[in-house]
Amino acid sequence: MKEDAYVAGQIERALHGDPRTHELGIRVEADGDDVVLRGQVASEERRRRVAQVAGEQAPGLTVRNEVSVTEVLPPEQPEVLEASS
Amino acid sequence: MIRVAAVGDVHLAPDIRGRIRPHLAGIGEQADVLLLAGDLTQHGTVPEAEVVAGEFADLGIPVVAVLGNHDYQCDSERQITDLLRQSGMTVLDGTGVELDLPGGRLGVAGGKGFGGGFPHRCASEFGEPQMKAFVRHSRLLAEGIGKALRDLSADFRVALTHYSPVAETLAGEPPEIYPFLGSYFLAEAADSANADLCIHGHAHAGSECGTTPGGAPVRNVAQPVLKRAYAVYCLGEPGSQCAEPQPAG
Ligand SMILES: [Fe+2]
Ligand SMILES: [Fe+2]
Repeated sequence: MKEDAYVAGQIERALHGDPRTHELGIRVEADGDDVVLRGQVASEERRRRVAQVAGEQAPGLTVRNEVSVTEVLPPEQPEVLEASS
Repeated sequence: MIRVAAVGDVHLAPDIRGRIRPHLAGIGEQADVLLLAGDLTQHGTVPEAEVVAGEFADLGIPVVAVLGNHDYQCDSERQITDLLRQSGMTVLDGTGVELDLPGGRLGVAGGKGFGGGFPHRCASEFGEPQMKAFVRHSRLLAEGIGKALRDLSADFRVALTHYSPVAETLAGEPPEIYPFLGSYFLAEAADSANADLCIHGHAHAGSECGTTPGGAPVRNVAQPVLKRAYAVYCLGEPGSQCAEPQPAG
């Protein structure tokens, strides 16, 4: 069986390079038969695709998708910056 | 006073068309200019750039952008730049622009920038050709941005990049990857021109606020950091730096 670190590395490489994802900000942790994905993406569809690409790299392993979808809240009050010299 | 709106890392593609747009209605009442800090697209394709153009079209205020590493993924950065320019945006690539705004004359200069790291923990132009090329690329981009900033004759100067000029706004990212997230060459460039503000993106898990060694405020406006459609920074009035955000009134 492959070491956890290599499993995680392989999945992260796939998430970076696969044209379906190109997600650089997903942290993958592998622990035996379990793989956990953490991070943020821009939509529910992208969240699903991350799990799909990860799952293809980890046949037989259980992928837990803890990736969240980034919120887009309305803008807040402006920040006034000190005038610099 | 000039009100600068900014956001980066919107990573647009047809699947999320319209994600930001609803929040841009009325932006002209909130801000005088909108800066986009790169990673405008997810995969760097022309169809995605069309989504970007549509999302930020007809806002009634100037839009100034730089590209990010994602916008380079499919080697279409030239076409993406042309398309965004045709849509009315200013796209900076080691260049600057000056805008006469109600609150004064604003100069914005910038470009993508690149990595390499921060003092005492950075790569240097030494050894293998690949290593030299990596650091030289970062240095030359920063030098170009520095010159473009110094050439601006404006009341206020803003440095707009994708990569970070300081480590402070990367807090939250694993320290091991800081050299891939920014370069102090960019801060040096901004400080060489006494820039009033540095805007960047790229570090999705970073923090909003930092300062260059020369004292210029730095703001990481990556959308996942802001969690808002954009942030607004006011230049030209005394105030507190990085005040606690307050709910809009
Ligand atoms: Fe990004
Ligand atoms: Fe980026």
